[in-house]
Amino acid sequence: MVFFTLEFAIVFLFFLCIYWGLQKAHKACQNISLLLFNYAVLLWIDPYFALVVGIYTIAIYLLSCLIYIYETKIMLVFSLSLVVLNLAFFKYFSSIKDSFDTIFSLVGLDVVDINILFPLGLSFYTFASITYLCSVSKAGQIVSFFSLATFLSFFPTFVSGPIMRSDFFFSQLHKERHFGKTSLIVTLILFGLFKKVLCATYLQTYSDSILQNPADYSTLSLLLGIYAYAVRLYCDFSGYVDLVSAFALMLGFTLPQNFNMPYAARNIKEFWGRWHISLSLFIRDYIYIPLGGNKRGFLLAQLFVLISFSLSGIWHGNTYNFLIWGLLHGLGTIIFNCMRACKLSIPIPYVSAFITFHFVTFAWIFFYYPTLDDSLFYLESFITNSTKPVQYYEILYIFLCGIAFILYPLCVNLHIKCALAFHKIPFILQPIVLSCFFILIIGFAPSGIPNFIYAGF
Amino acid sequence: MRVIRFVFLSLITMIFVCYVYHKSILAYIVQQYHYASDMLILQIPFFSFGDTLANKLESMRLALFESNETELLLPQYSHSNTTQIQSSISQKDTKENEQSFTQIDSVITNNPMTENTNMQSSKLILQPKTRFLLIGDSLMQGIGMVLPRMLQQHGFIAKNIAKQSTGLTYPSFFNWEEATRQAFKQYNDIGVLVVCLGANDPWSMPKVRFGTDLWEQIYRSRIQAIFDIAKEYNAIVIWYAVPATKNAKLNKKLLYLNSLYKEVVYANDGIFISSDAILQDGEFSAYLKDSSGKSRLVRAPDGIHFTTYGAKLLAQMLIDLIEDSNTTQENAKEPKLQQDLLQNGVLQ
Repeated sequence: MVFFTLEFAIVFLFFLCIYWGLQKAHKACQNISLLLFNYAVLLWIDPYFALVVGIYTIAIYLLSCLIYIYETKIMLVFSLSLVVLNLAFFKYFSSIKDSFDTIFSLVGLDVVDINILFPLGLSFYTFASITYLCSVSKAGQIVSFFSLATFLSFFPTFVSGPIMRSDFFFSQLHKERHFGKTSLIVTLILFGLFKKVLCATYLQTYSDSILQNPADYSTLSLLLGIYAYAVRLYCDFSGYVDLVSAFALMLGFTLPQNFNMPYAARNIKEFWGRWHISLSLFIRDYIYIPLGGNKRGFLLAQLFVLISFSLSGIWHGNTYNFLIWGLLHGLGTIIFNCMRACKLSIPIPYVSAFITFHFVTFAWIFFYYPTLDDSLFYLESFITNSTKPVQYYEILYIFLCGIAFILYPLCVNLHIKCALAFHKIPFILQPIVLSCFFILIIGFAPSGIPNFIYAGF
Repeated sequence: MRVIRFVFLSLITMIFVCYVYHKSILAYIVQQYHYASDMLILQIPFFSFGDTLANKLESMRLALFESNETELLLPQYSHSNTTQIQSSISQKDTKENEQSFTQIDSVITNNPMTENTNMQSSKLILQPKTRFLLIGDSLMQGIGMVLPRMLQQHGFIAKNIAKQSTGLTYPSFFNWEEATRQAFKQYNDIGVLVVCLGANDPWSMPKVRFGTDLWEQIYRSRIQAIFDIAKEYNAIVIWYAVPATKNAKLNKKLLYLNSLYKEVVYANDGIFISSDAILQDGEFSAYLKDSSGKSRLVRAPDGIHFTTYGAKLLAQMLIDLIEDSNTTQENAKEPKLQQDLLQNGVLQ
């Protein structure tokens, strides 16, 4: 991933000088420079991705003009259908490629071999464009092509989100921006690197070694393996969000919050209010509520919940495992809704958090393995390997996991606390402190440039 | 003013970090931009504190995270190898180094060694629990996602020490000869060495232009060195060809490298596995049809790396070389992969 390279650090720092220097010239110049930089980053990653988003932006601009001119719901539905079809086409192309080959051969073009690959960030800028098209229909206002292009190619959110609503972005793009929150920027970068480069990478090595060979490990090891995977997923994705939030802050933008200590959630509904928040809200506002939400009675509301989670699962990939993962979360939410309707609850917060964490963690099994057979094999090994010998260090690890789980709620707003602490350090000493942290993180990190799991979605 | 303060803070921090990790940064530049720097081997007194700090941190990291006996202390910088290159350069006429890259074209044209028909007819008979050592770059990391499990299902053990961005061109960045030797020393039960590398290699070495006779001579000697270590420990070597990529320019160079691997492999009685399993008529294709006629994605969006299915096809090529006497009951999916390979005309 280009964000972890030294070249990117140098180029971005150089760009920041130009970007903030242009603010004094004119805000429009600053915005143009941002658009150019967005595309420069995309070209750097792969010109194909820049081309796809460029064409996509033109299409969205034309569709938004049609919605604006005709002001009908049919036009909005038509536009959204095209946008979703486009996403589905790229995302599930490998499943429909044969149909295309057949059509091509029927028209005598069977010599053409179509090799379409999924463009980076397509899911996320598709979601962003849906928020924009809905906003045009609702508010009856369109933005300039350049503003739209800046929004859809905004490099901090391009690769893996968070999903930013168009209104949220344009309100910031059109007002005068200020550089600030240096301590928070620094803290977010350190947190992002620590989570992604250190924690996620080592946890990946550890969890993969166990989860790839479940037959060889005891039940306790398998439990530790799936714990490690759960924490790795969080570190990987939230580390990325911390990093891009810092980039956005450097440009004078604030990104929506995407994570809020998800594994401290005391029920599955709360979990989705803390994990990938921007996606949860998107699903709520653009799938669940349009379906009818909770206004058509309790039973239909549960059906809509199940549909929404199933779609969320299928969005992650067109495999049975992702569907099962989505359905499990849907069923978990329905059970919670039923419990709440019957006024049943677990009075001890740690117990409810413990149950929620284990439900979420075991549901990740279907997220981790590519096939249902593999997932069932893990579960089978989990039950049948209980007689395998347990190592002493594994008992120690479980004990440490328990301690971490108990202490976890103390980490609330940790990045704010750290930013405040950094702010109190005299300016002349700040580079030394910052360097020490960087040197430690880089020193303890395994070599190589890491990628983000969510970049694949 | 705040921006200036932030830029100042960032610059000073970068300078400190670069001071400590200057060797890592130089190694990265050498690998990424194919720029050779003497600073990698020079001990400059100014950097001695930074070097000491970086080395101490690396020792601590290894002690903390990789002290486990299954992990290897992989060498990073090799002084000896770089010195070796330089001494060989001094022995050669410098004019020889100026030969054009176009020479490679003629090598390929005169020696049409495509990667076909190189599967050997006889099968490998291995003792149960034989250890396979997997070495190479990110392509091997891809195969390594699936091969160890498949080997395990046949009763074998695998150790994957593949490392991304590595190869044989820049031993100063990562020295596979040393890493392989170290692995053989650490595990005395390695029976098969599996190699897949080359995608990071078609570049000039320090002061030796890619494709020249001298380059080829040095590169061949590095391939041979891997074989020599394997021979020393009586291990069989299985070498994967580097598959064609989306990049046509790179493919020409990879074809040349494959021809070198193939020659050295056959000269040493090794086994060369073609990459036909994930190619369409010998050419790059992101999708391949499986035995049921369904298109399956085999390559990642970068057009170089493999998807899990693509990696499985390549891993299956190796599994098919082994006499099937140790298969466990779990190994029920392989006939499907074999059919997929038959469908693509890879297996006869």
